[in-house]
Amino acid sequence: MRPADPRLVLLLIALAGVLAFVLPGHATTLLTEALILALFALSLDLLVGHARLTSFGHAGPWALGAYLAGAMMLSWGVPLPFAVLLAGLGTAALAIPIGWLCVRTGGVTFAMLSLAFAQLGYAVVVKWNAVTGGSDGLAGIPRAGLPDVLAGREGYHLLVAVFLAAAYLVAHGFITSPLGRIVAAVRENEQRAEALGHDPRRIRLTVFVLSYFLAGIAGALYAGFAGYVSPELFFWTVSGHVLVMVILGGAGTLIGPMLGALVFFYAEHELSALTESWGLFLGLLFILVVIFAPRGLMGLVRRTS
Amino acid sequence: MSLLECRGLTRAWGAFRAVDGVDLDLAEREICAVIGPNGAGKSTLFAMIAGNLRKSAGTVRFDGEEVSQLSAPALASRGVARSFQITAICPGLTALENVRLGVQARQPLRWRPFGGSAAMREGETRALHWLERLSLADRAQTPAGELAHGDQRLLEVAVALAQEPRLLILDEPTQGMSVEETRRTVDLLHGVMAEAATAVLLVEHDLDVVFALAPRIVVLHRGRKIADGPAAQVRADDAVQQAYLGGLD
Repeated sequence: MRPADPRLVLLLIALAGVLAFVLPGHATTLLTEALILALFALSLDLLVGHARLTSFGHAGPWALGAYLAGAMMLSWGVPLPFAVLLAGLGTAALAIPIGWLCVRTGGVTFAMLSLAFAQLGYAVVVKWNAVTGGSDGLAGIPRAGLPDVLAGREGYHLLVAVFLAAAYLVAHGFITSPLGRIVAAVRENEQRAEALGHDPRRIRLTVFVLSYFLAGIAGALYAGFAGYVSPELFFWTVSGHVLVMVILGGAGTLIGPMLGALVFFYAEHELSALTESWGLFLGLLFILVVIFAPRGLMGLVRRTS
Repeated sequence: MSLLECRGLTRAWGAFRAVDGVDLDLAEREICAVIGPNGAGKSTLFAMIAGNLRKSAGTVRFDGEEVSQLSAPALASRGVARSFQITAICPGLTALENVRLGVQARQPLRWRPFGGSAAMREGETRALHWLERLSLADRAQTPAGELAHGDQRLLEVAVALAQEPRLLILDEPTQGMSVEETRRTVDLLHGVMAEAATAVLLVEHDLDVVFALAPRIVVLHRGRKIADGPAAQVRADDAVQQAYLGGLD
């Protein structure tokens, strides 16, 4: 599918950013969280939509980024923007050996391996009490080193919007670059990609590392947002939810998964206020989308326009 | 010096030798067809030369360099391009993008993770040229998977040509085509093979295609090379008559 005009996407992100000055406080807080999830879903779209590598373990880089940034700000007072970037880089560095093992093949093997590594992360943070706070996690994480304007509710919201815009530009730049086109070729026909002189495993590794980098950034922003991190960030349900966001919005479109994240987040928020069994209704919504709009909400938009 | 030198190429599965001690030399720009009955080992031989399949024994030198252990991507980067018996194209990408990826394979910044739009526009121009040469230009924007079978076969040849190879390996380019399509394909191939400065190794079942395209013919039979020489001479060879040409009656 042709990617949406990047200028339009940036405009939408900018709008979401300035909404902080219009909306009441609690609504801004909700939107901040939704934008962080949008960045998280964007990172998974590179794998699921663009490389067709279905990850069941994207909670892994998300939680890793959150823990890394949380620890840096809590223990050493690393200023938040640096902590976020370093957490993303740290996640990307770890993605090299993990990815090397995971991307030998696509399909079910990849899905299971990615899940296994996220579960491994969960086990490590629960057991490694001294550093990770065990099952309690790390609480009282400050938004370190930010001027008051940015550390406040509206300021932090803007900061998140800026990171989301930057992440989108990186992702869009990647999939339209020469290397990004080769990722598409590997997705479409591995044998052809090899005959063109590309090693499919290495090509898949590049997109895996970039996806983990952006997911790590999303997790790091979440640590600054929530002020605490806990092993639940590693839960497989987190991986499931972000996968639903991507498919709901339309895998492979970048903007679709970001919108999917907003829809999912607000639907969950509204439904959980009404009923305990919100998951049931969200599941029904998901089933309806898959049946009537197999290319997600973006597919629906494309068809009507 | 030969462009390609194969010595004693062998591929065995257990006791069965699909290819058995084949020697094959190819000069720059030489066009050579490999023929033989079904199961003679033609595709297996090509897979070993192009690095798609490990060799049980034997060596391959390409452009003076020992390349026996190299993988398919490494050989592709050295200038070996190929089409497959079962068409290998990117079905979800447009015909133009398929060929452009072939052009990109020779570009120095092919693995750049950002930018590169100028190189890609230039690549599209080159790609369009090859599409025109194979009379596919009017279907440039069609997803490759939606092209007719014959056009998909031609598209794969266009992708390989776009790589500007020094050795082009074509595995049954007219496979599955009607008589009419085959004739048209032969004409198109004739034109592009003259234009591209490349040596060609060609597997083909259709003997009319072989005699039309290749001045030199190698005959494989049960994994062994039983004849190698100018087309007219091979055609008259007794052993070939028995093994292959006679077998068609």
